[in-house]
Amino acid sequence: MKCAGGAADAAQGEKEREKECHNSGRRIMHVWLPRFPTDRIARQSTRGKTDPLSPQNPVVVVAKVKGALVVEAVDENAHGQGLAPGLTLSEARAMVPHIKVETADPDADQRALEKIARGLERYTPFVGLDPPCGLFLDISGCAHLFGGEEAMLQDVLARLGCWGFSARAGVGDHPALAWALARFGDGGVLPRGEGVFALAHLPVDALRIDGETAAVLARLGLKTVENLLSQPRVPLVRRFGPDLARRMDQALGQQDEPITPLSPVEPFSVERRFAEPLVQMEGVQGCLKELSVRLAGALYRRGEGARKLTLRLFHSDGAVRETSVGTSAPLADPERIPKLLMPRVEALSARIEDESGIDLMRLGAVETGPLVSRQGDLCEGSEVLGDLAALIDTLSERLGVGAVQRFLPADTHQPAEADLRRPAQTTPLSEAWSEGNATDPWQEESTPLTLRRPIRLFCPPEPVLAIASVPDGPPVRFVWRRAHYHVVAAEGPERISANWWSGEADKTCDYFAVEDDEGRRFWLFREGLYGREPGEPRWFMHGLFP
Amino acid sequence: MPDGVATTLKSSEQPPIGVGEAPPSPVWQALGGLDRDVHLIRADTFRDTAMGAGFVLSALAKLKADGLFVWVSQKYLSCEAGHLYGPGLKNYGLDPQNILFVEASALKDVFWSVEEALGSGSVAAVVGEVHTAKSLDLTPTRRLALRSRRAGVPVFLMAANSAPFASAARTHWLVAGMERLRGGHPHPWMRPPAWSLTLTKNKNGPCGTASVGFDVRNKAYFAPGAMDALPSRSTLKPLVSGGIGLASGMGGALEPVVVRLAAERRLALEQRRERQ
Repeated sequence: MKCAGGAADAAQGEKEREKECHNSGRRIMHVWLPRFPTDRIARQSTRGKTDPLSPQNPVVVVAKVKGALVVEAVDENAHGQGLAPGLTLSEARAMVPHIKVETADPDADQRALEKIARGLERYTPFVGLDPPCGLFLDISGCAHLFGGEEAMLQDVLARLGCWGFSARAGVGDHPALAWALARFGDGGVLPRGEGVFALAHLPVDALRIDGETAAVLARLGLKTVENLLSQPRVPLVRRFGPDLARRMDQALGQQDEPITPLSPVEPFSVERRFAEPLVQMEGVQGCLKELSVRLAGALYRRGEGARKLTLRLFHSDGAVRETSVGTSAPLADPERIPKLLMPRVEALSARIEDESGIDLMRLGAVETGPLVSRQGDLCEGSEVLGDLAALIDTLSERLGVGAVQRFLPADTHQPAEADLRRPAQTTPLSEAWSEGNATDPWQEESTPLTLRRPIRLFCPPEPVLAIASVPDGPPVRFVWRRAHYHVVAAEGPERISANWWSGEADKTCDYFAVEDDEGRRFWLFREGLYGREPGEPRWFMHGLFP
Repeated sequence: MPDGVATTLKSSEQPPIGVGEAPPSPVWQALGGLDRDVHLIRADTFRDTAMGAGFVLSALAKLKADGLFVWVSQKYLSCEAGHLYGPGLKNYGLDPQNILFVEASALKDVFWSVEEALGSGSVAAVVGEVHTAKSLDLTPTRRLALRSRRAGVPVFLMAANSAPFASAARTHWLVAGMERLRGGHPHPWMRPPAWSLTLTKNKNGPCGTASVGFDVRNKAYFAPGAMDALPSRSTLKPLVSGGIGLASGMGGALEPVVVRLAAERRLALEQRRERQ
């Protein structure tokens, strides 16, 4: 894991780092948001109009379960008055008449959880979701940047508190331990190397087993983790299935449990933290330049360039803004990186200055490629290619990647398939600019069969009403877009049959290049052959000649 | 290809530009000035934009065969007038790989892209194609003219569908097809690209009208002159006596294969007869 930059707390960080050198290993933090649904609703409804003095009614979140409205979550106030998840709404109303009822919205919860996870990416790039209301953070090697694990944990809790979410967090050697500690223990940090026996007194639910199994285990007298782990394993597995065994293995640290990070981990990233939130655009721009220099330096030392850059702005209210730009060639130029990103940042400027300010900026190279050296080249070519790459990037950045296209040769005789254009940014320069190989249809200048092709093509072809003097001959008159044309010259037919693998649906096309009496040239075709193919042949306009 | 055409080329009073003396017509003089500054090319209707594009492409081909060109097109045009077609460009003597095709929907994005391309320092010419010529008035064209002069890169602006108007372009062209007589039966081959060019504005001289054809193989303009004399099958012989490649001035590469094969057979027969 790479965590470059950041303000490390000097003395304690050193100590922590030394400790880590001795026993390297995973450290996982689990963050549990016990009142997540109600906190989310409170945060959304009171945004901008907080009134802490007015008495708040207890809030419960209900969902329909088997036709009845059942309480799913309660806030602190309701909890204090004895309400708990699992009650039906009528029972809850009977206990506390003045409760405020909200409907559960799992989608909004999921979105909010993802937002929180993105906000917590300021601590570590590995943040995984544990729906419906938990998060895993892989903090191996990150904690020293925040003054140790305990300080980091407090920082996380304080930040979540600021965002309006009550939380509990635990840190342990593997996810199962952190989970149990956060949800069933008192939270806090479990020292390195202490295994599941530190949690021996916790109820069996702490092993993340489902409620039914836990109830059966409790009836059998296996109430704590210690009780369960001291039992012979085979009968347990036979009785309760492999799921219980898996959970036990995970708790013992014998089975690995990977965390899927929410966003892909960038191979290169640099960041800058601010003691005070940054609200001015000039500051953001200056910082972006500084980050670009650092990122370009890191890339250059490794001989790599960025193909895709991501800039993340972590706001102090928990929101995270992310912008990505692609580049047409691997880029490690400290001048060009801010130029590419600046238009996007400027688009955000109004919002940045309105909102709570930025307290962390992170610039990462998500995709990289080998940097092609451009030094010591005497010919002009590479310089031009570099300028061209810059032009392609600038145009793609504003108009979209698909809008800037390069023509590619296609080895096909179907006119529509030969119309091959690809985004210039994603088509590597070397491929498109190299000398064509033997199969390249555009390189075969010496072939006798140089057939006429129009310079403008209609896609799809437009229907035309045409009259031909003989069934298979060229048209003598035709109507296209409600205008009549008289043909004075016609070349053809050039017969292009459908690909044999496309079946009966596609018909043979006879192409004619025709000229009308006003000097316009058209590329028409007749789809189908008289008498030999089913259906009435139809005429189409496919292109225009110069 | 008819003898009429071949002889016209040889004894043409108006030789191709760049060969010998420049012809006196203002159109021919203005054709020589297409290598710098802003030029505006109009067509009356959308179906004529292909001819305008053909004219611009001929200017690009003459300018620098291996240069990089940026072609900015307003998106709407691809439905109305079709989009550039790679194999056709190859036919027309240009390498499609050297053309960067940019599609922008908003008008201001078209101008912005043209300006960016001008400033990039890597292009030989820039083409901007917009839906209506009304937008090509003084302000944007003056900006482009200044930039184009500074970069030394020519800009071609193309539009259809509008009446003449004021702009800062060096020349205004109106491109139309060359009229041909209606015959009874369609003739079995087509002419090389040729247009009736009307110079409606010229900063450096008078305006005028001329018929101009483009020789794809030699990348030169020629005066089509007697091309309107309709060819017939009986005129094959002079072409054959001059050799297959004689008509290169007329875009020999584009001749129908059938005609060439027939000509070869006739040549072989003649040679056999001479030997006897």
